[in-house]
Amino acid sequence: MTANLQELGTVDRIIHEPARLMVMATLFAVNEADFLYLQRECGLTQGNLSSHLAKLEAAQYVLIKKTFKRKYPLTICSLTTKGREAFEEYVRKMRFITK
Amino acid sequence: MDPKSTAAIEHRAWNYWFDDGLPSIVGGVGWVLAGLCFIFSSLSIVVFVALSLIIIGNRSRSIIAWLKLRLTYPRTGYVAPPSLPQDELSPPPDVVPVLLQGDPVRRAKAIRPRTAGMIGAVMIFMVWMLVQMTPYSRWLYAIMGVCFAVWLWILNGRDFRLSCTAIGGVALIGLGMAIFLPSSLTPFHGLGYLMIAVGLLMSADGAVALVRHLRRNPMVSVSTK
Repeated sequence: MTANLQELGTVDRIIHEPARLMVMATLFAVNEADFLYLQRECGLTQGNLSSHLAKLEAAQYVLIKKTFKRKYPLTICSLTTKGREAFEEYVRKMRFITK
Repeated sequence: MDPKSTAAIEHRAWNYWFDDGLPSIVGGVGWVLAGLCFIFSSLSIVVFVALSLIIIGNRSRSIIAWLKLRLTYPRTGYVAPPSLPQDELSPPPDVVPVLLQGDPVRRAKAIRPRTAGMIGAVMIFMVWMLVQMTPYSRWLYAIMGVCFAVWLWILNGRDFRLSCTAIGGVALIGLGMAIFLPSSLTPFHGLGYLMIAVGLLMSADGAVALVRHLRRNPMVSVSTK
């Protein structure tokens, strides 16, 4: 394997999971989104999305704020700076494949 | 990070702000209020209507967000509203091709507030001509209707989103006024009626979108851990 190809072996496995990749990509494109929007956009079940968000939050890639607006619960998710940098690095490594 | 990689996601989030038709409804109400300012002769009513218009104009996003909190977010979730570049530096070099290509998101971002203001200034000049010409030409309403429709098309997807039918309808309203308006109507009143008609059309277009949105997306209960 070449040195560049070996770099793929170091891809971030937190992000390198289809469901979490969808969540990261969505949050990268928007400033913030709530749980329901992410669930609909990514096509995940509530439990599935909760599980993946918990992993991303544990890795400090995603910031989750639980608030209420006029009795309507909002779980707002956004990428942290660390999460943005990690996603950009992930995309850079994956782009190697398409070159 | 290549912007094109997440462009599709950004487009969807951008269009999400307009999907329920609420921005068009609020915008239409604003135009109706603006038209009413030209209709009424009583100063107190004009002041009241003008103040309402100013409040709506300045707080339109807050009003739309308030409505979305009750109608849209419980059904389809919340995403940050589209953010527009507010800088007045030189426009992007490819602004004309962007305007012509039809991508509403790119077009919305390419339109700087000054550009939108310049287009509006042309409209105001037409209004001034309408008022100054004695006797005025009724066909000025038709021209204004077309200018209005072009202006709405350029700004479509920026602060509101209208269907092609609605935008075409604006031009037809101007043409209809040129043909059917009674001669006794003053230019100010005629302009007021034009703005009211456009506002009602915008609101109706938004209402259709809202009903469609509500039917497609029933209320859901979300339990988050």
